[in-house]
Amino acid sequence: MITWHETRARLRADRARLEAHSGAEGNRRLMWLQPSYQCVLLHRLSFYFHSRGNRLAGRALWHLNLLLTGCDIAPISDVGGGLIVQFPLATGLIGTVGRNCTIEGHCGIGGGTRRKGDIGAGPGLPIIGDDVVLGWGALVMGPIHVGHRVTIGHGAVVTSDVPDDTVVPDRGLALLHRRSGT
Amino acid sequence: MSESVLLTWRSDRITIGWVWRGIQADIAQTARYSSAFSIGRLSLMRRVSFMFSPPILCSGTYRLSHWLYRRGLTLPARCLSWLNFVVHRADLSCAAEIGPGLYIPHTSGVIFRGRAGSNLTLLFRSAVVDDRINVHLERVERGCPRLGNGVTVGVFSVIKGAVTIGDGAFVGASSTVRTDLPANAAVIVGHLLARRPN
Repeated sequence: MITWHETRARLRADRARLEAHSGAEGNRRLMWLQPSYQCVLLHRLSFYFHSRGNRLAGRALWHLNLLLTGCDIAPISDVGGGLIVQFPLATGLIGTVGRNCTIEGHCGIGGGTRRKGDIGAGPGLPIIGDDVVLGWGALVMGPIHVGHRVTIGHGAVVTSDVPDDTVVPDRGLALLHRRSGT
Repeated sequence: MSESVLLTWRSDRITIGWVWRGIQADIAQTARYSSAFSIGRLSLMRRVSFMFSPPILCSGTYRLSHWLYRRGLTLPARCLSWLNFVVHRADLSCAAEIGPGLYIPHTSGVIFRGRAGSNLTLLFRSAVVDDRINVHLERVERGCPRLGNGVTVGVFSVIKGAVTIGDGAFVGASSTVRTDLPANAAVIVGHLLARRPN
């Protein structure tokens, strides 16, 4: 069960990290209009209510999050402070995530369909360490441990354990063609 | 690649007439792409029908918000682009500069920060974003991609960073582009999924 004090502390960390990454040109007054901030704020409240036993409020805030920002962070997922979701559109997150996680966009963290083993986050859900960066369209699926300071490349699909300080490469090879006739 | 293909469309004055002409060009482009359905010329009824379809509503809302942004009304501009985001699930920044003839057949999941020429096509869940882990609000000048005329960004593909995409480039499905592309380039990612029978 998470305390209100802890929720406030995590939100402060989120806000500080978001402002640090906004740079000098970011307009602080319009922070509430940013989907990046909205989705993290709504998830913190949703997780707080859900873990305190008020599951209706938790689910209502989750629905609001899904409606407003398109970010599907389940109310059961325990995310440490300093979360940045750069583009929350089409991002899903179920599982346990450490501090200072950075999610770029179109990412998915959650259970696969095959394995339902429980490693502490829930049936079939992953546990992710601190300072993890997920690139565009990266997927972390299944009951796996992802270590600290891991960078997961664009479109990478991670279905097995990843040790600390690892860089998972981008998916795919690109062939460059020059269109004929033009 | 030569500097001539790097020239992207840039309008110095954004007027309400620019919004209207842009929407008309978007309708013409949409009609061109959906010509399989069309019979004869673009009638008034079809034009009105296009105007209330999601691609044109989305691009029209973007153009209005860009007009507000260029007039210095940042808060209404951001509110309008946020409304666009909630309704159409397309994150077209109000500061992005897109030329006439924008075509977004499926608006869901499209993200655009940067600058593009005319006749841009953004397919489902494509993202054109800057390189930094940066959630800045307004500026698109630094660190954002610059796209030439007639670029197509494919399904699930990402163009990221301060790169320049030449005119007529085609970025295929689920590809990640982090380097410059010459004019008329085609990026295709994938594996051989099917073979022709013997």
